[in-house]
Amino acid sequence: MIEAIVVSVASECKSEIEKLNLDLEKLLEVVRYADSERALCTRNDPRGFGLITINAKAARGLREQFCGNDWVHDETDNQPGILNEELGVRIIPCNFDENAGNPLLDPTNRTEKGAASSKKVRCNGTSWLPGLEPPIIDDESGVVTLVLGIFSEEAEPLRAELSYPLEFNGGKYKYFKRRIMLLSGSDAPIDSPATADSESGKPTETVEINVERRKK
Amino acid sequence: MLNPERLELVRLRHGLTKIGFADKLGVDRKTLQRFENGDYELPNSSVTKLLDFSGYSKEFFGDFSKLEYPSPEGVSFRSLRSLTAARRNAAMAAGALAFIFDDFITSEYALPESNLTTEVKSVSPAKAALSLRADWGIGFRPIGNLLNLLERHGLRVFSLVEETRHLDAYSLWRNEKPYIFLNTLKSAERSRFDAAHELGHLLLHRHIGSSHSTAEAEADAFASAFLMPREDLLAEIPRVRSLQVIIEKKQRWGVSAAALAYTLHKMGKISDWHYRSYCIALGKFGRDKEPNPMQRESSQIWEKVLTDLWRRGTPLSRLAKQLKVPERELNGLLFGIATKANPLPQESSKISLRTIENNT
Repeated sequence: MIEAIVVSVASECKSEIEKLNLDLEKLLEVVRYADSERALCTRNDPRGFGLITINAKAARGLREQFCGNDWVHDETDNQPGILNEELGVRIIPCNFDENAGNPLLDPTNRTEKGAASSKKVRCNGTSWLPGLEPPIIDDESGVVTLVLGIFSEEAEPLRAELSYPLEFNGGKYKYFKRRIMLLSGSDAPIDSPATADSESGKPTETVEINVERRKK
Repeated sequence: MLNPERLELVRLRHGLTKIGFADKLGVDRKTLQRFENGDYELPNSSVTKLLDFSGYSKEFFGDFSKLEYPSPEGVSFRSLRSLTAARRNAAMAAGALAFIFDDFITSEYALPESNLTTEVKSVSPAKAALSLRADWGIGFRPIGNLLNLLERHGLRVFSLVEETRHLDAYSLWRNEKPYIFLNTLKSAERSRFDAAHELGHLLLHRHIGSSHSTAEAEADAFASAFLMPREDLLAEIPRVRSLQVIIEKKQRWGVSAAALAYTLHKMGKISDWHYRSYCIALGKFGRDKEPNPMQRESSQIWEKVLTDLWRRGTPLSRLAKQLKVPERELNGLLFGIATKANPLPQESSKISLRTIENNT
């Protein structure tokens, strides 16, 4: 199998995202929005509601951030997302495992997906995405489906990537042809320079105060 | 012969009405009034009752030196509207005792002089806070120990042990010296915010008073900006993932989770919906329970002074006798330093005190 192309350099990620008529900062905002909504879930919520929340709120975030001239709502096969008909690109959110945003390991979806995801991946094998080689086979809808994979868990770093799945088996994404890293686990976007905690950012020290006895 | 003014102080400290006080002494209101006017001496039985219930010594009541109370017009109170006059007067009377102690200590020790500039031009409270930070050379850094910072810059800070949740703190200027009184029965974070709030009053409202309608909001805005500079907040919390982030990060600025959440909400870092949810979640901890609490700050100056007095053979009990004030009252004003487990250094340890010429 061909090695997946992993885009993890910040400038390249930004450029890849722009090719899709998207904005990296807005995309990160979508991920963080979904994550913060998930953080409101408590143990009083039904089991799995956290994952449902991420999916639903990421879809809402995508729509609120990008729908307008180029992007429109998409509900194909009851999978919420956004669609750019001109580019022939659809984006759907999905809960990924802890390998999301990790350029060295292959992620997959956390819970098994069904026929709708399988169909979209099959279609990906026949479509063309800007920046990739022209498609070999041309059938089905001709729309590429990208997955906004998010790993959001309490007390775990937030991770995310935008990926182009090409193989789906047993309810899981098995192979991604291209992966664009968005959040690698640190709070900052991937590959951004680390900010050192300088002396000026540390709390003020407790200092000795002079208390002097007066001479009588 | 007893000094009526001293009886009045004790009445105020106990939060009693005149009728209630007369009852305690076993006399009627008119008899007490005659005593106050100097027409009548209290019977011995009443004096015994007075000494018993008040805990004050006979020497205290026999002292005719003038007491100085905090001037009601010059005091900024941080309290709920539900604070009763009795509680308020009791706290003010504690101030009078603090002045007795402070005057004695000032005559014995040279303490840092106040360098708080109150010529604040018409700037916003937040700008005034940043300006003071610049004056004190701390920039945007979080304040490690606020009490230490205040004392270093000549503010006298006393504690109050008023058993009421209605009173937080008060502050005043006296003889060009700024004073802050903190109710230490609140959480450590709350006390810190109260101290910063009172610092705001001292700085912003010295000349115009703090009775106008916006004074409290201004002092709050000052405290918020002073403890949590916007620049540092933005650098440390670019986004809020969850309430847990707030509970962890609050330690940096030494504020309550509620205060940090409020500030982040005001800055637009938390949506209305999330802020409401966080408030509900924080409310579940309980009114006086602070998640991830910080250690309470205490006075370094009073600790050094008490240690030195102790070394010179004057423990707090003896000092209390000398000043004719009950030891528990002094201890209550001094953050309970004298009753802490090991407040005093071992014989072998050194103390950084030296003798200077008395120039007062």
